[in-house]
Amino acid sequence: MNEKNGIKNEDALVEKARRDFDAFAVLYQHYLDPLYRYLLQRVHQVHDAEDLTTQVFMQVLDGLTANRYQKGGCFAAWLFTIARRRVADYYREHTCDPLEDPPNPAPDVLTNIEKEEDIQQLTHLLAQLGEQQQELLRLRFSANLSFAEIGVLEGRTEAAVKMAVYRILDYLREHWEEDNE
Amino acid sequence: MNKKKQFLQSNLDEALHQFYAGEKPEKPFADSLEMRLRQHHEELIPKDRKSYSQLKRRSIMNKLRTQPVFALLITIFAFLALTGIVYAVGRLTGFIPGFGFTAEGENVYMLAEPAESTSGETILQINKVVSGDNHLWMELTIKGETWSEWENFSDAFILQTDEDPIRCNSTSSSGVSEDEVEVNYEFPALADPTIEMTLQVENLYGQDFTIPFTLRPIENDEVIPEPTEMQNPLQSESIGGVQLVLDHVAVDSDKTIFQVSLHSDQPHTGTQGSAGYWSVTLSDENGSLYPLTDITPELIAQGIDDTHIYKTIPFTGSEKLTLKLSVFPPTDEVYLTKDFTPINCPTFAFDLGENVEIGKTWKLNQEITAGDFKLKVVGAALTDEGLVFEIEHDPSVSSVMFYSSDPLVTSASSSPVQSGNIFAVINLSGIPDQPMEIQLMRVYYQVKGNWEIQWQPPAAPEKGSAAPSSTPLPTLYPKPTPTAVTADPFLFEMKQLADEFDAPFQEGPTWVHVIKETNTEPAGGQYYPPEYLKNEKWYEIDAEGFIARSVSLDYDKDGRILQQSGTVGDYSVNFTYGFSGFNDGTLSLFSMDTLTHSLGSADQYGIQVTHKDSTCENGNDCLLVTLLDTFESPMQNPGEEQAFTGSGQHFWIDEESGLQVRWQSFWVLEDGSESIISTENTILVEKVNTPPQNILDILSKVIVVP
Repeated sequence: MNEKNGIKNEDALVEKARRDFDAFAVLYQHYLDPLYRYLLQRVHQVHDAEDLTTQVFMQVLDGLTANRYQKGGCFAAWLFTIARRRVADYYREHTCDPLEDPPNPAPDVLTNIEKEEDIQQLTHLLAQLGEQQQELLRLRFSANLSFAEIGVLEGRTEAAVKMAVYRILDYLREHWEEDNE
Repeated sequence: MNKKKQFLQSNLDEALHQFYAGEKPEKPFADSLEMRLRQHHEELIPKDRKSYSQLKRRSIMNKLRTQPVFALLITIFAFLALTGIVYAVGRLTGFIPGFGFTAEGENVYMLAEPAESTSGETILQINKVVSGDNHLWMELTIKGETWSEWENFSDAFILQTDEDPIRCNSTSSSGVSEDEVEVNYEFPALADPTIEMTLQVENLYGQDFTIPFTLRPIENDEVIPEPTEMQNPLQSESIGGVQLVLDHVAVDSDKTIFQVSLHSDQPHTGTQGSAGYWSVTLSDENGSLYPLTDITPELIAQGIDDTHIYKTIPFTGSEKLTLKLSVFPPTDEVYLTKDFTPINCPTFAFDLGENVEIGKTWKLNQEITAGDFKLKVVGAALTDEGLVFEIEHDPSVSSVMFYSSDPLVTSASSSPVQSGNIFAVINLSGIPDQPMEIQLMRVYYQVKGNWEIQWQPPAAPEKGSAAPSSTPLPTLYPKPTPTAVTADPFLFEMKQLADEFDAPFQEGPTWVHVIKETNTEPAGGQYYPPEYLKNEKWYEIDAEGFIARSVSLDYDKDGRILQQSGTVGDYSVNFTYGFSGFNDGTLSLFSMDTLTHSLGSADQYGIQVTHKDSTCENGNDCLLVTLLDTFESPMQNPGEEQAFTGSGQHFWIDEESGLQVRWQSFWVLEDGSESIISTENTILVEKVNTPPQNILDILSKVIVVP
């Protein structure tokens, strides 16, 4: 989480969450929205995002109580490592079984849109980015991770992540302006 | 930056925010998931065993639940003891740990011999492979790496000569030790399992591995066999189109394994995974409950909420058993969803008309028939969110989802029941000027009933079975009594006070009856524990003051039993879910003291201890002891007005009796105030000669598995 809104000192809380559900509930409430948003961005279906959110939190709880999370680690990076693992599993399963379920109503990411044109323009620009660049934006804006946390997750330095994200934003700004001129 | 540029970038920022961060999970989902997590946490860490030093003394049941490797090894070790039953090689029907049940006549192949590959300091070893007609399951060990850093974008393939690579369907992993990780892969079935093949794993901890391996037909001691008479599933009565089905049974000399599932006679019907947890109980004619351990392989359990595999004791074959569906939180309802495809969904036309504005409402009288559901749409409103349809209250329906293929529709959602009626939302990016076709896509509903299967189990192949009565327990050793010798005079004083209270209740043989009430501030729609919970415990105390047997009952505010469990020695059975298992292999002295243990470890965790004089509710002098854990920096939750700066516990101790009469947990807010999480009051502690018959009845139904 970024420093403005996030839990600055998670170690104590994570340690407490191993034995105290109320502490875990704080982590849950803190990470539910970003995790769900990230998963929804990845799978585009509300029902699937809910299923994956459930799986991730269950695995996190199992992991904490079984002491699989190393004290002093980066909890957000651990959480989203698990989330990415579940997404990878999801796509493996769904490439083999694409027609089992009835299609869900809609790509629910585009809700509450008053400026539909802006979103369409953004979607168009994002489609021109590589998967890795899109993932950085998802981690930054949907998952609300700090550059340092993304760095842990991606195996890159904080500075490298920051530079990469700023380059993408510069690219978006540049082309956003071009499209509006 | 000129004004135009600023405006454009502001639009970009807003679009980025809307695109990436505009969505939130629905509240019913968020609340019910929190409830499930809370329940799961209770299962992982039993309520009475949360103190710091007890964390590592986890029961065998918890180990089995959280460490699949351990479970697997134990099960495999157990079935190595199988004695000579001969089966057709390669076509054995029964249960294979990790893989699940094989179908009748299924061609099953196993790993011929372990195989491994090394890259740098990382060793990847294939330990087990089971190949069936429908899928292939594989268990591997990664040595030299930690689970927390497991590479999440690795991919696995099976390569066979002249065949396209077969890509892994799903993966699960768990940490075995600090430098060992267990991975399970599931692949589609192989066309020919008899030819040589290679496992190729890409980008695992940044490295690629290639491991050749071969399979051989399964042998008769590698499957827990399914008796032929049990190969036709037994089913409960169908209620609301839902049946409990006993799919498979496998028997061994020391255990019985069975698979149950929920089936629906309607297509596109499923359980609402987020609405609660289901399990079964297994009882005999007298209502005695057999112990069940959930051993559903992880790759089956992952994402599938309709099937469970349990292990219980071996049977003689003469028992008359009842399998009964059990749902938690306690209810006699099963929560289901019914999906409709765009081809078969019921529809109705809705015309917004011309020049409509946000705030406009319509009265409707639109009936929708969808299978057994008869819904009546009574109104609609155009809001900031979009079109909100109001559907007349139906006691069996909790929510519905509408949709329309109109291009202005961006999404759809269901809304919690309000004022008895149901609401369905269709989000719009503009106001349609053409009539819309509204489609019913999903109905969330509940079915009330009692799903039971009468079952005469197959006999175990040898050794016989446990009779439905308590059997002798393994030898239990007293739990080391905490020493009263301490350098901390306050801790010493508190320990003395607690011991003085406990002493008369430890004079056995006797029974002790304890009642506590707990008031909890529910967090975000939390279902369990409820706002009010009464817990009643009955302890049988032996001549040395140790707890020989106990019964625990949780009641809600209306006096309904939410959970009941019985413990004989060290063995517990939860009668609500059927779960069972040994605890930590020790006997405990009866004690009402929960304070001194926390006091003893306060230093270790940097917890500040203060105390002051107070008055108990009964007017007696009370000592108020506070333990405060201050965070290094405040923690702020989105949506919360204030950050937490710490957490704490209050204990009120009656100075006259020594009883710890009240316990309270709380968060400390930035302004110094306390936000109470939970308050537990001890209402009664009494010695009795004999407990009520219903308590003895519960204990008589605890079947201990040595």
